[in-house]
Amino acid sequence: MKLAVALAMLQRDDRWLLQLRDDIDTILCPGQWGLFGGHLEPGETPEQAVQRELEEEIAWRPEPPLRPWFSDASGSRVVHVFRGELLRPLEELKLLEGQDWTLASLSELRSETIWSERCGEFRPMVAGLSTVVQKLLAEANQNG
Amino acid sequence: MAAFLASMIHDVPTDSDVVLELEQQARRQGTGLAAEDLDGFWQLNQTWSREGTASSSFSIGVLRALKACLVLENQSDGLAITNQVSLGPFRLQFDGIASLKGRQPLLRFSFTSVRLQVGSLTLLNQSLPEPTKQRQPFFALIALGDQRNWLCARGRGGGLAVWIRSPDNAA
Repeated sequence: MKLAVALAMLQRDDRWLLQLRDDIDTILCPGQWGLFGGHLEPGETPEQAVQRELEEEIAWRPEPPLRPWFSDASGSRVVHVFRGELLRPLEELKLLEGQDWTLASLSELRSETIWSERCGEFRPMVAGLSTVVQKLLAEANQNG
Repeated sequence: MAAFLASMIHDVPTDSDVVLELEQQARRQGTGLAAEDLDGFWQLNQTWSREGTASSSFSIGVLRALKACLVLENQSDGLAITNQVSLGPFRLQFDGIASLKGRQPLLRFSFTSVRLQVGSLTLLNQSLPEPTKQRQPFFALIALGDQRNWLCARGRGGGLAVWIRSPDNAA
């Protein structure tokens, strides 16, 4: 059975919250921009997992809970992506996992490299994030 | 030489506003650039900071005097990359491999050796350790001139640069 992860696409002022993963060779996609979230624990639903992961990673549990956006089982893992508004500014949250975070515009997401203030350099995005970006672009095109 | 070459090219960007606009276009639409478009000797002509502040004329003067040059060679097994500076008979060059990724695209590279030569005499030729993937440097390509005679990109460190295609390695 495939491992499952629950990820959060959080929007604030037309920008999207990303986490810069640690520069640790043993983790998946080290040093790249991805979404907050993580693996489901035994007996946990994706909805529960994404809420728990957000509390562990940015000290914030969305209320009401995030709504499911889409799931993708085409890769080596089942990915459940949730979506919602980031109702608090970053200054009121805490980065507890990862080496940086940012609110990226759609233009930045499309460019596949995003600036990290803490690292003082551009970093690439996790390849799997392109599915999310494509969905956002399709939405933007639909909305004119 | 780079300044002279640049003066011969009518559309080479000399203003960071133009470069930043080209970057927005590249982000929206991609550049369509492929490895064969990059083949050649590219002499560094102009650099800007991440925000678009022009480097001092002294810095640019030094880089031009050192003939800072990027050499890309499209080979059957991938792109070979060399970054080199020269001063009189001295030449310091870093050789490695590069690849393109994504739609903008990124030119990702790593240097595998460093060489110092005086004329045809090699003073140093040393292998370099391969960087971990997350440390791999890259240029996010922005645009290639209509006549394929200038190239513009942003480095991992944020700086913007324009290179002029040089007719040969002697530039």
